[in-house]
Amino acid sequence: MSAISAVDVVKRFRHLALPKQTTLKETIVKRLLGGSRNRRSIEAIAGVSFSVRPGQVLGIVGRNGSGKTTLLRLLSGVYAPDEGRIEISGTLAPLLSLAAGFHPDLSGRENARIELMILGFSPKQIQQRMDQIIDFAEIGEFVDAPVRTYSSGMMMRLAFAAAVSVDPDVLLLDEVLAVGDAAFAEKCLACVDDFRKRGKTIVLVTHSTQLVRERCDVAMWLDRGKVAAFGDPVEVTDAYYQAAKESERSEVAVQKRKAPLRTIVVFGNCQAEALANIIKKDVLVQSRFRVVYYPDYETPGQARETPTPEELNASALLFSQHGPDPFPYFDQLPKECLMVRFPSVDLNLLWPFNCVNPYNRPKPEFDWGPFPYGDRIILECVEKDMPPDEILEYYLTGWPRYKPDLNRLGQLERARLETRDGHCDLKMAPWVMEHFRNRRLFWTVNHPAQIVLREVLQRLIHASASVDPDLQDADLEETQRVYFPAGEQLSIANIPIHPKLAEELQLEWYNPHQSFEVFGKVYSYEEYFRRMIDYCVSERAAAAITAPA
Amino acid sequence: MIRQVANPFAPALAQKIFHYRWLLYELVSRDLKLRYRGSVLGFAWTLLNPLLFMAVYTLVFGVYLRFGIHNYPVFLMSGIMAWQWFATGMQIGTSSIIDGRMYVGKTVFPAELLVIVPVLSNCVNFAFSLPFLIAIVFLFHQHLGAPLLLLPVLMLAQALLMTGLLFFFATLNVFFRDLQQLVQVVLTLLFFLIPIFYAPDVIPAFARSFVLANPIAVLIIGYQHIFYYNDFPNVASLAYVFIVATVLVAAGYAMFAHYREALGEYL
Repeated sequence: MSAISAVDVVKRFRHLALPKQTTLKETIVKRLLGGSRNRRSIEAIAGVSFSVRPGQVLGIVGRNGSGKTTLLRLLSGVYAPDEGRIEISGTLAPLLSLAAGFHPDLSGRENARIELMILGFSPKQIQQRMDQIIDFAEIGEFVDAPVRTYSSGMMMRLAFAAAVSVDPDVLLLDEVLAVGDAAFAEKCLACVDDFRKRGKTIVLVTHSTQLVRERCDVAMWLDRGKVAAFGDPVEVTDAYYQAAKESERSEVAVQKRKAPLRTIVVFGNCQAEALANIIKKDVLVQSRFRVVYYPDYETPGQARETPTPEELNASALLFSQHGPDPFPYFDQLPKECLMVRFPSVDLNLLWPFNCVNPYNRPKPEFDWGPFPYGDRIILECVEKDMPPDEILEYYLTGWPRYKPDLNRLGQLERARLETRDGHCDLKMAPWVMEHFRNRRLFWTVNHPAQIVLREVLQRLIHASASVDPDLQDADLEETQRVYFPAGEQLSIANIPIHPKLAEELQLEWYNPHQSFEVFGKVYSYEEYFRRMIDYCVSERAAAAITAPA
Repeated sequence: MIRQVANPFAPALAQKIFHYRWLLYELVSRDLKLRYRGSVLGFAWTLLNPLLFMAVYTLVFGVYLRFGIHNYPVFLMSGIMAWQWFATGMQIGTSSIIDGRMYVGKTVFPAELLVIVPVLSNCVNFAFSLPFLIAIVFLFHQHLGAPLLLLPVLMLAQALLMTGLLFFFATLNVFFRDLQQLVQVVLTLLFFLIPIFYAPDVIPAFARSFVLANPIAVLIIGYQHIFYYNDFPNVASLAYVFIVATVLVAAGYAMFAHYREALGEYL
């Protein structure tokens, strides 16, 4: 004797293939034109047989769209099977979906009445159960409020209470325990246990394999309308879990293979190129990004490299030396692309230039001459193999030996800025680039460029975390450890420089004995240098940009 | 719990109605409650509506055009009340299955009840407005007598007729939602084609048999006989209405039963 028995049950949906909204006109026109009536049917349940003994709890698991709900509706009698038969002995109470059968404008009490009447109860029998329902649902005075004012949790409480009050021989529950708070879920489960003890049969559709293991006597795994496994809950859920995991893994793998690497666009001059080359070397970056360097100048005799549309479409981050706007392909970047900007002046502040060989300038309007410092200082440091701290010291104190003409330097820089557009005016010396590549230069001083780089990398990691669900916290920690050994937390990517500040810098360049007055405060050069770095990474920098000039 | 095999014959419908009588009662009272919930005048609208009609039609056809119908308000009201039941019931009933989509195909809900509810709830409305109609009859010093005994028969015939039609309309409306609009238009036209605000004898002879072949016209004339002429309705034409209505119910329910499964899929 079984409480539920299903034999070769088949359920097809014929009408789903048709467009949902048909009009009389369309149908008549189609008929007149003799068009074929497109009636593909979909087999939602394709030959399912099983039986459940009284007192058993059957748990049904399966992926979305595998036919669980359809099967439950067949059991409840909402649908009739196209083939096969279903037999249920005893009374039946289905709890199929939350809002189903609830009229939004009627109160909870009225809806519960109708619910029970649908199951064939008389007003007298309902009256006896009503208090029990209200007690069980614990929704208080809401019972007389329209159901449209209910939360989904309250709806579920009421629906469950109504279904249970019927005290049916067979109870069908469709994924309803997922809604509602833990306390009520516990109450429902206690109720399920109670039913089971009293020899009632329960069919439970759920996504929780744990629930199936703990509460069910038998389990069914439904896959594409067929029974993939039936029997011991632990075995069935294990098999289901394994299969789900595997298919998920293969899906992720397929997605990964399909998804092109995201692009990091680095835009700027040779300094930016140096940064791009360093970023490119990062293993973490390599696994997720393609780094594209796009120069903001033209190299005479060479075609300008341009990013491809694919690269632009896949951009996760634009790292722009001169702000995002001058980037010629800015409009083609996707909306979610992050932007990190650093102004040129930050890098120029301490950057060792080699301007000895500004090659192939078409019309030199200015006598460039050699840059007398910077790279030479660095060269000395490197040749003496100084530790970073000493390099800083040497760099900060040593350069006056070269007796730079500050006025000339200022003119140089201004000329460089003025004539930069469309021309290559500066090229970093190859050996400097080499040091950049080996990261040694970045360890020489606590250079704003270094800070920018750190910031870029941190942004990168965050950007990739948002686009790459695979990225683990451990990866982030590892990155933090490598690039931020001191544990700094940087918060500003768009490092602002006040125009007035930039102006002052140009006029009073590189004089360690000179004090700077910036925004009404006086700094020595070294102080200023330190503060500059602090400033670049501080919240105040953002505020300074709006400070009165 | 009750597994009734769909039986495409009216007796199955009767069984179902009996089995779900409490639910039907609940649904009808819910329908009446919801209709007036949140409205200030409530049930008064059921009376106010024909009353306004009466005022305007009496003005237009009794005073301006001078139809020459004695006690025109009584004549008009005796037909228009039943017409209101018919028209409102058909209009709401046509979309009844769509409006009940929270039940159909989602619970073990007998969808036929959805079709019957608007017929009955509007019937109750009609019944509630009868005292008002009778008051008007007496107000104009007209008489009511034995023909009043046939009123329940007329009402039963009308309920059957509406149920039969609605099984067709409500079912088809799920698949062709234009039907709702179509029914609306046809109802407006019928209002003028049926002798509701004019007497049947103004219809030229050649057209009269066409008009009288319409069961709802027969019913309206029947109501007019009872309330205005104080006369028995034509029994033969009443029998005709019953036959048409019964056939419609049987055929309509058969069609509904045939598509019952598909309803849930479409909604």
